[in-house]
Order: sequence, then structure tokens, then C-alpha cells
Amino acid sequence: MKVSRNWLQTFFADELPSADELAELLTFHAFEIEGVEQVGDDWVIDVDVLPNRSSDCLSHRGIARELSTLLSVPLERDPLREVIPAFDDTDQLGVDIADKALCPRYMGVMMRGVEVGPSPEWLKVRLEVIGQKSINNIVDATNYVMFELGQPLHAFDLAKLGQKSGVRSIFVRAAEDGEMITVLSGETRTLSSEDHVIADGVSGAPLALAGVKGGNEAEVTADTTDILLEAASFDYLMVRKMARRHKLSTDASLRFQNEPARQLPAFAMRDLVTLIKDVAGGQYVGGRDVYAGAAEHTPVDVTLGQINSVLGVSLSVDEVEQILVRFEWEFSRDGEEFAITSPWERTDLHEPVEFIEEIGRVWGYRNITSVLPKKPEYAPSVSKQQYYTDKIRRVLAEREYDEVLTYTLSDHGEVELANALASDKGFMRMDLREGLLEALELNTHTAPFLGLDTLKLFEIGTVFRAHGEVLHLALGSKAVSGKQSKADKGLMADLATLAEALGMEITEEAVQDGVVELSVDALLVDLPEPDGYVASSAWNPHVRYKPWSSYPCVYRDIAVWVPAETPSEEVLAVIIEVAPDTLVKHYQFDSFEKDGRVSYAWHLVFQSTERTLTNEEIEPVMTAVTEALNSREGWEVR
Amino acid sequence: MKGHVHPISAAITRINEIFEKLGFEFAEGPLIESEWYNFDALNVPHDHPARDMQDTFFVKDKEQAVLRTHTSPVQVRYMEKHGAPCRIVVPGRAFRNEATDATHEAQFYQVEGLYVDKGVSLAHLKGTLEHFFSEFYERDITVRFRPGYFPFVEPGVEVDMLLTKSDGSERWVEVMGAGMVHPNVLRAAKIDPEEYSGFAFGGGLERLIMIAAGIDDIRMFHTGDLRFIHQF
Repeated sequence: MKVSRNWLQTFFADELPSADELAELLTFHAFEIEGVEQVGDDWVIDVDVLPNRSSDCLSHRGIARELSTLLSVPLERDPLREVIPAFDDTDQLGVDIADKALCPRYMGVMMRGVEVGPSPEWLKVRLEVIGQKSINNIVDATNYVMFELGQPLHAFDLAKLGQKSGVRSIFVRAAEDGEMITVLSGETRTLSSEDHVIADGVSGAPLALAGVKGGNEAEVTADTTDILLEAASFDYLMVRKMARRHKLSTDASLRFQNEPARQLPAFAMRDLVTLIKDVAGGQYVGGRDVYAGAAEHTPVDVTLGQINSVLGVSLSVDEVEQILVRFEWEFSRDGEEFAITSPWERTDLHEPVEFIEEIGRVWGYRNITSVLPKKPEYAPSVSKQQYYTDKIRRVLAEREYDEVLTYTLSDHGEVELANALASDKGFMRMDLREGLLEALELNTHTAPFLGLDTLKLFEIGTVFRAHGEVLHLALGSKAVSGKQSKADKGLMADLATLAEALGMEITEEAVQDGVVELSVDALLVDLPEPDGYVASSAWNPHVRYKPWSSYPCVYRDIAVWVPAETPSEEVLAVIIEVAPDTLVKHYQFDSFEKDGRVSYAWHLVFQSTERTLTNEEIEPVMTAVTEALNSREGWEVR
Repeated sequence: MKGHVHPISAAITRINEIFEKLGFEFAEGPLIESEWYNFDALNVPHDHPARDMQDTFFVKDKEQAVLRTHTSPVQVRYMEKHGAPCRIVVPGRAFRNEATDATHEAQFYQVEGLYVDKGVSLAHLKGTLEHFFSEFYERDITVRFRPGYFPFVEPGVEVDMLLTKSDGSERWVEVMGAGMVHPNVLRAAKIDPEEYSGFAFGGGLERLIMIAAGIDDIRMFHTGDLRFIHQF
């Protein structure tokens, strides 16, 4: 929620700290901050209010209350602690609620003789600063009070409601199947009996989607003079489902689905009537308040021992007491035991640990000193799956296999998703083979760059069958140059090596398309329980990833005769020195001795990060490399 | 030339090594989960707004079945089976139904930790995470907590880690969510919250690797491109 610093300031007598300081304070003691932005002479802090505090903190008063606690500065004005004037019942309005469980409170108030027009400048600015459009003084007043207190409000044009014996009435009821409503934004929605509407009790017409959005049936317009104001409480689930069903996520539905306190409508109505009188004139007539009541908050016992034990700190009983005083919560203390009663607007606090969190965050989590738990007396049992999959990885890596992890979501399979992200990701994979084949295909193009003439890949992963999840292993080998039959043979030999390393037989069907796949779960059944993990050096936190160029490579091979005692590094050093930076990779692929000389051969890979290299520009490079090598005594490029 | 183990596998192996020395057991659970374990048992009731915090894949023609949105269901499964005290580390795959970009994948890995015993506190959580990060990155790492909200922990915290760049400048990066196991989660696993308390943490595994290696796109991990895998 966007919060205005100038607005927050109205709750305090003394100048507040800067917006950045407020943001920092909230970050470390209350909420994440999405951003801080200057707007005109104001600052807007975008506060990420999460579900547990959306009942009281989607409002300037809620954030001001937080700041009051954190700054240890009492609020100068707190609308939720000011008295509510006596409510005037009027016979001119009737309110009926079909199901009070879904609408525990409906407060309707009539005002006559208002003058609809533009809002005064201060009101426009307040709303515009936090990203709201000014509409007219009546609608703006309802929005203003919502952003001030967190209670959604609505205004209807009273004259557009039917009358019976001079009485207008509201009926909160389930919608009829097929009933239509056009909401204020202009879209028409077809309703079902799962929806709830605020209806005209006389004509029966739906006036609003309960707790979500008003309809245009009784919209306030420039001609409106008499209004009906609504402040209500709705069941969170009803509002949530309606908002989802009709894809109408509104400021009202967002608040209602987090259940603001049922006491709140009366405070909001008081402020709304006052504000409308101020900005649009008119007279308060009175109304109806149908209210099922709210549960009283009872004291929750929290001990100093519990607080320190959960937070891992050593607060004194006085320090805890001071924090409770900053909250201005009602509490009693008996030795080191507190009985704390949360204020009515804090509908989120029930369990002792919830109060402990409140105390902890105000005290400050940065005051917690790290403690490493003692090791237990027992040794943790070794996971068979983790032990053996690690072993398989080690054995296969020794045999030059690279491990890939491919996508679990597939375009076909035995397990289908009800809400796929994309049409080709609607199923869970039923094997590893397909992902591995794709990886082999993809890497056919990367193999020369990597200096590989045969690709050897494996994956260990879960596959999904109608009967359940199975952990599989798939090995794949593909000849990039040379015969596939040789790669297939190599694959079977590697599988035999793996079987030997595991000390068991692996009887698998033949290689298919260069891939063999088997169930690790089935292997694990026959493998003995391991005693302990084997230390691994596979993880290296010091590797820095280097993105590769997307431009094509130019490949060249070079072979050189040198005297037998010359190490290959010396030859390579000459090549690297002469070649430009576009020589990105080199792989030695050959070395043999004959007649007192040794022949070394390399694949060379040239690639630019800026453009496509041409054969023409690599030719002179190769010529220069050749010349440099040939100029050495006893060296000869083949 | 030897083959290359995928950096995610390498990281999981290392994480398991670090936690095993602290007495944590490697645990796992199914990827297709019941809504009960994925949400309800973790104090996220049906149709609660907190469910909106995670976009969920549902399995067709299977009542109440989802692709687990986090590794946290394993907490309850393990505690049900083994009771308290317990210490587990759970690296594993999870799924979120959200559009893919450089920092989001529909499938990703998480690492989860749980420690339940008598007298477990936030100070133990902080100590454990500092130890873990310092071992994992092989340098001293400072951790800080900010208030956070995850329905299955109370208090809930966001975990930041202090990173020092090569030019000596420092910055805090958010790496995990954590907190003290919510009493309702302990109750769901038939553990008495009056007797036991515990901490839990969970975060994206790819992110931990991306921070170490300076990888800017999470999608690299699952393409199978060897130009990526050969760098590790």
C-alpha cells in the first residue's frame, strides 16, 4: 500500500523523521518496503503489507500506529480511540440481511442535500499522491476514509432506490442464478447463487457486488442530492471467492478478504459523515446499524521466560513492559507474567507466540546474538537415496559423463495438470529419455565449442507415472563425429562399470536412440544400507560464471612436430601468444611420438563477443600461428 | 577429462555435508503433494489469502493434489513419522505457476531446514544460518533478520546475507524466509508446542548458487546446455 508521509504526519504533533528513515524503521521492525518516492511536496512510501496485517495496516492510521510504537511517540490523534457519537436510527431506511454469517454488520446512513462536485484541493492531493484518481467529493470522501482507516465504504444515490410508504431499504442477499449487474467500471457480470449482492429492498435490483464493487444502478452523479452511505463487514471467504470468480480485485475486496474488525464500520461512518458535510454539505438524517456483534478480546498470558526462550535474548521484565507501553496495549503484570489484551482492531493476535513476535520485532531482531546449536548425541541416519545418487554421479563423472537437469513439465504424460502454464507444459514427464535426447540434440551444436567428439550425459530425476513417482537414471551418449554404434557400445560398457561400482547387476534393455533409462528406486531396494557419506569436492563456491557469446564460432585444428623433450604447454603458449583474444577455447586431442619427435594436435575455437567471425579473417591468424611455430628450432607444423 | 556434476547436485551434496555435521538428517518427500501437507498442515487454511502468496499447479482428476510449492511439506511429514526432537535438511524440487523470467522458473530447487527440540530459539536459527552460509561460501558471512510473514512460522523473518564485492563494497541480499515453527504446524504433526519449539528456514537453491557464481539468469540451470555445466 502506498502511504503518504504528509498524511502520516497528521497523526503526530512533532515532525516525523524523513521518509527514508521511516522506510528504514519499518523495514527492520515491521514491513518490507517496495520503494520511497517524492511526489510534489510529499513522499510516498510503498509498504508491502502482508496478509497477517492486512486487517489493520492497509490504512494510514494502521501505519501511523506502527510508527508510534517504533518511534516511541504517542499518536496525537487516533480516530480509533475517539468516541463514536450515538447512532440515530431512522424509520426512513430499512436494512435486511439474509445471512448474518456472511454479513455480520451492515451500517447504512442517509444524508440529504449534498452538493456533488469536485473535491477541494487538499483532498484531491491526498488521493492523487497515493496514486488514486479523484472522481467527485462524495466518492473521494469514501476513498479517503478507507485509506485513512482501512474500512471500505460505499455511497449510493438514494433517489435511485425504490420507495415504499416513504421508506427505502437495503437487502443483503444471495444473487439469483443468471442475475446481471453492471459494475461502476462498466463491465456487466452474470451472477450465480454463490454471489452476494447489496440489493434495493423495494425494487429488488442489485446495487453492488457485496464487498467487491458498486454497480451503476445507484451511482452517485452530478445530479445526486441525497445519498445512502454503506459501512459493512462481510465474510472474508465470500468476498474472496467473489473477487476471484469475477476477476475484480478491488481495494475493497483486498481489505474485506483480510477481515478488518467488525467495530471498524462505526468509526469509519462517523468520519465519513463528518467529511462529507465538510466537502459536500448536506444533512445527516440517520440510518440503520444491523450488527451481530464482535467477540471480545480476552487477555493472553505470556511469560518473560517464553519471550526470551523463543527470541533467544535476555530481556528484563521492565524492558518487555516498556515495549507493551509503547504499543499502548492493555496488560497486567504479575512478577514475570504478563496478561496482554490486544486492541479490538488487531484481529491477528491470538497465540502467545504472536505477542512474542510483536515484542521481538519492536525490540529488534538485530539484537539477537547468534548461537550455534549443540550437536546431538545421536548421529543422523544416512539417506540411502542421497548416498547412492551421489555415488552414481561420481562414477559417471569419472567416465566423462556430464550431468544435466531437464524440465519436469512436458507436453504429454500420465499425470496432467489442471492449470498448465503453457500448452506444451501441461503434463509431468513420464521418463527422462525425452529430456535427455533434447539435451543431446542441443549439445550437438555446443560439442565442437567444448571440444567433445562424443556427448555423454546423464540425469537423475523423478518421473511421474499414473501409479506414482519414481526416481530414474538415464544415460545418453551421442557421437558428434564418428559412429553412433561405437557410442552405444561405450554406453553399455559404462553401465557395466556403474553396476560393478555399485556391486550389483544392472539388467537393462538395449540402448535406444543412444539412451538407456532405469529405475533408481528399484536399484536401491537391493543395495545395502550405507554407513556414512563420502566427502565430495564437487561444490566450488569460487567459480565465477562467464556468459558465452551468441555469435558463431570458427574452428581450426593444428598439429605440430616438436623435439621429444618439448612439453605440450610450451607449444600451446606460443599459439596463445600469437593468436588474438578471439581464440576462446583450445583442446589438445592428440599426442604421439615417432623417430625422436612428438606430435601434438589441438582443436582451436575462435569466437567474438561482438560479431560473426569470417573464415577470411582467421586465415591470416592461422598463417601467423604456423609461422611462429615453424620459426622455432626443430618445430614443424604438420 | 572428467565429466561435470550439475552445480545444483554439487550444492546439494555440499549442503548435506555441512548440515550432517550439525546433526541434520537428509530428508525428502513427494513432489506431488496433498493440499493438506502443502498448505493446511502448514497453517495455511483453505481459501486463506495467504495461499495467494504462492501460485499453485493443481493435478487434474486428482482431488486435492498439487505440485508442491515449497519443500516445507516435508517438515510435517517427517515430524509425523519421527516426532521430536528432530533436525532435517531438505533440498528438493518445487513448482510455482508463474511466468518465467531471469529470476523466476516454474520449477526450481529449494533448501529447507528444520530443527525441533526443547528451548530452540531465533538465536539458534541465526547461528545455524551463519554457520551454513560461511561453510557453503567458504568465507565469513554475516546474517541479519527482518520481520517477515510466512504462515508456518511465528515469529517469521526474512534472512539477508552481507556480501562483500571485489571492490570492497558491501550489500545485503535477501536469501531466505525463516522463523520459529508455528505452534499450529507442531500441532498438525502431533508435537506439543508447550514442550517443544523449533526453527525452520527455506529458500531458493539456484539463488544461492547464482550469488556465488554471479549467474544472472535462473533459466541456465535447466536448459541442459553444457556450455553452462562445464563451467562448474
